[in-house]
Amino acid sequence: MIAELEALAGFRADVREWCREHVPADWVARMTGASVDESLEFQRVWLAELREGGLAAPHWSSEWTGRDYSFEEEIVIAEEMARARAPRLDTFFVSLYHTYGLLMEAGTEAQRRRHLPAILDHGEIWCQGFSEPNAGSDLASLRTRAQRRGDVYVVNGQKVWSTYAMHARFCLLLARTDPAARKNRGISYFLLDMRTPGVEVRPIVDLGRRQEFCELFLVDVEIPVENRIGEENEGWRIANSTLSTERSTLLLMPAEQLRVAYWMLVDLARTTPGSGGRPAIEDVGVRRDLAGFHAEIANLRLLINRMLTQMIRAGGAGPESSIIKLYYSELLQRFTCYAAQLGGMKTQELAPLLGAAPYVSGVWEFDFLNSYTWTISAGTNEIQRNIISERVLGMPREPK
Amino acid sequence: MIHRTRTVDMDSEELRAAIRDVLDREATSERIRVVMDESKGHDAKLYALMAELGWTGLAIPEQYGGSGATLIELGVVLQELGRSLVSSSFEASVVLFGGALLLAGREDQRASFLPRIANGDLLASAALGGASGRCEVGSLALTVEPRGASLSLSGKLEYVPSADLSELVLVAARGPQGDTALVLVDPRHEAIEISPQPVFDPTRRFSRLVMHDHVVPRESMLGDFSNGEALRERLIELGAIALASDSMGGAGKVLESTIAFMKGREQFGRSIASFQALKHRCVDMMMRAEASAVSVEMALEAFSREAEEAPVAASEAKFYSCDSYVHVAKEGLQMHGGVGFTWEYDCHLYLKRALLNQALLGDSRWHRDRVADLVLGPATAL
Ligand SMILES: Cc1cc2nc3c(=O)[nH]c(=O)nc-3n(C[C@H](O)[C@H](O)[C@H](O)COP(=O)(O)OP(=O)(O)OC[C@H]3O[C@@H](n4cnc5c(N)ncnc54)[C@H](O)[C@@H]3O)c2cc1C
Repeated sequence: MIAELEALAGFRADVREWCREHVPADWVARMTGASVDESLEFQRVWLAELREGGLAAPHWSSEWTGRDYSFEEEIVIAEEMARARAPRLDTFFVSLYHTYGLLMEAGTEAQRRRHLPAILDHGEIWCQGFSEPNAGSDLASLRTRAQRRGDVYVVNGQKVWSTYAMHARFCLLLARTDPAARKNRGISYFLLDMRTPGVEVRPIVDLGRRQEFCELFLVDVEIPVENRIGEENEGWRIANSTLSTERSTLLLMPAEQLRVAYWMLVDLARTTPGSGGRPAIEDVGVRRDLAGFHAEIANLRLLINRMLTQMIRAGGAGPESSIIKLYYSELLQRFTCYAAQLGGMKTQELAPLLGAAPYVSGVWEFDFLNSYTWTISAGTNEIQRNIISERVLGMPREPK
Repeated sequence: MIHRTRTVDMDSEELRAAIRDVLDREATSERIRVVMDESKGHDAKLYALMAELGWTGLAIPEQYGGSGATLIELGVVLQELGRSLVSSSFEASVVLFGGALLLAGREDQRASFLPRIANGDLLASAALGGASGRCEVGSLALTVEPRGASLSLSGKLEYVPSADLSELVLVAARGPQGDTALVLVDPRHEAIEISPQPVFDPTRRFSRLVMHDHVVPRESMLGDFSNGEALRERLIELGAIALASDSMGGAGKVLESTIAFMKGREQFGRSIASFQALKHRCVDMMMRAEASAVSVEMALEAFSREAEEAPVAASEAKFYSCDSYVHVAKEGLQMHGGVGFTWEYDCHLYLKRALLNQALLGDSRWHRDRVADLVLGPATAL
């Protein structure tokens, strides 16, 4: 445990009590196989519930939430939410993290006033329009064009993989404003109102047969100049600095969920027959594997603790966050795949899926397939490795 | 136009090319998706064509209307079906049910069923155990009790492949002495409750059969109590080799299509296939695919010769080829990036089929245990 958290026992007890009273005991059963509308409604209700309890956005400043939490308290809240198996606010992920981070760092006061209360009080959903069909790992080569005409920008192009764009009221958009400049120098950052004429959203069916991410087609879409964030052609720099500040605490909740999930795997090993029909947990090979996961999950939390302690004491995270993301995502993938395999035919049975589930829901094959969200989106693990080898290990770039 | 060349008298590679040619046209990704949604995991139109081309009768002796080839040729068909993610009752009807008759059927049983399997008219299945991935006798949840000239069956069978399409299912049941009987039942009989057991892999369909004191004549047995367990084990080996073949075909295809995708995909101004980090992983995938291929060939050959090493070869092929398929399909999905996460691309279908193959008829842990026992002797004897 992080030494600084020991003094917060009282606070922790309060949060735990709040969770006990408010996390709906039957939410997993109710939301399993729920329709899109039902899930959205549930997310809104849960957001409102958290807001009432002052827990919807512990990382936001009191100006918006009426309550300031210390960084240490934020950590405690994340730990307790995971422990209580509280639903994730995944529909509001971009709103609560990316939009907030962006507006606080690079937005104007007017933009903050317009958007932040709308997120918290009305559950406005945001999406992120960065990736394009030909600009994924090489995001800086994006081609969506924004041309200044008087006091608007006229935007044309196509975005892809934009999660929850079909429900979103606004989009964080990167578009090229100077095609003559070097790749990452000619990009600007915009807030796009999804109701603007010329915006078309087409959902893409994913491997779980859900419709979550979307294509965006932008034809002569007008964005008022005041919806540009920062200076023209500064978009790349802004996007990078606002993305990196978020990673630090975000992994805490998934890491804690993995600790809870570990015992679900142990249960699976208890109920699955192994050698000679004895429970798999008596199998020496399984025991060794479970011991391995126990250590790896503990190490994950220790790595996070080290980073958080560093942040509490010195402020600001180092490159650890990208190493932790890599470590977590691969552990998650291996862990869920292992469980899907351990259960034999039982875990092959199709089960109704659950929105807002923890990253490990216990429908193991579904959890495993979902783990690719972590290894592909927001910079694939291959790209993470390139970045870490170059920036942390100081190794030379690959020749062109 | 389909070339209606019959598949007799071809060598393995000609056979493979002929099958691939047909499946590339008849089992496209679009078609697979139609079949998975509209029919019960069985492409009847394709199956009729497969019968016409002689695939269903390939390993059935000529006297029963087949072409008398060996399991090795049948293995080629299975590999190609796996490669194209074909949904059909082929494994159940031809490999398991047909295989059981060839191994232990009485003459009257063979004569009445084999010609109908060969011409594609009879769909049948087999339930050999293996719920939760384990296959030992103790795992059978169906019991059989002899009663004069009849047998009474009670209990349940899980994950029976395409049982809902089948006229007959060969079921393995535990006898009063802890012995095993293999019995033919009619899954449509009113005393049998049949319900679907959908799995993550949408290309395959399974059912659960539940019966209570279902009485059938003793002649419905294949073999008898004295050789039932040995026969069940042989059939598990046969099924395992079929799954290993399917996996080998699937892994080969994933490797091929992943490389083709990467060659056509540019990022950072160059083809992503030129990144060493990815190239090396593709080579690793290839090594596993190649080793799977020889392992599967060895198992097919040993089984068809009834060689002493067949049990080890079958189990090794099962876990090696299925584990490799999972590995290759995981890597393939990751290397596709965002499109790998879509329903539209086939990456997830291969991954789901790979995981299912691994779990069916004894998971990798079970087959490893089996190999360890066969090769090293039981742990207690050491
Ligand atoms: C579930 C999900 C949700 C997403 N949500 C959003 C969203 O809301 N908004 C948004 O803008 N985007 C989103 N994305 C898109 C995501 O950011 C991209 O998929 C990702 O950046 C990869 O880009 P790509 O799909 O074009 O793959 P590619 O860049 O084509 O990569 C294909 C493969 O090549 C590898 N590769 C590429 N370059 C190199 C290299 N130099 N060295 C080694 N390997 C390399 C990759 O790692 C990958 O394995 C989402 C993606 C997923 C899967």
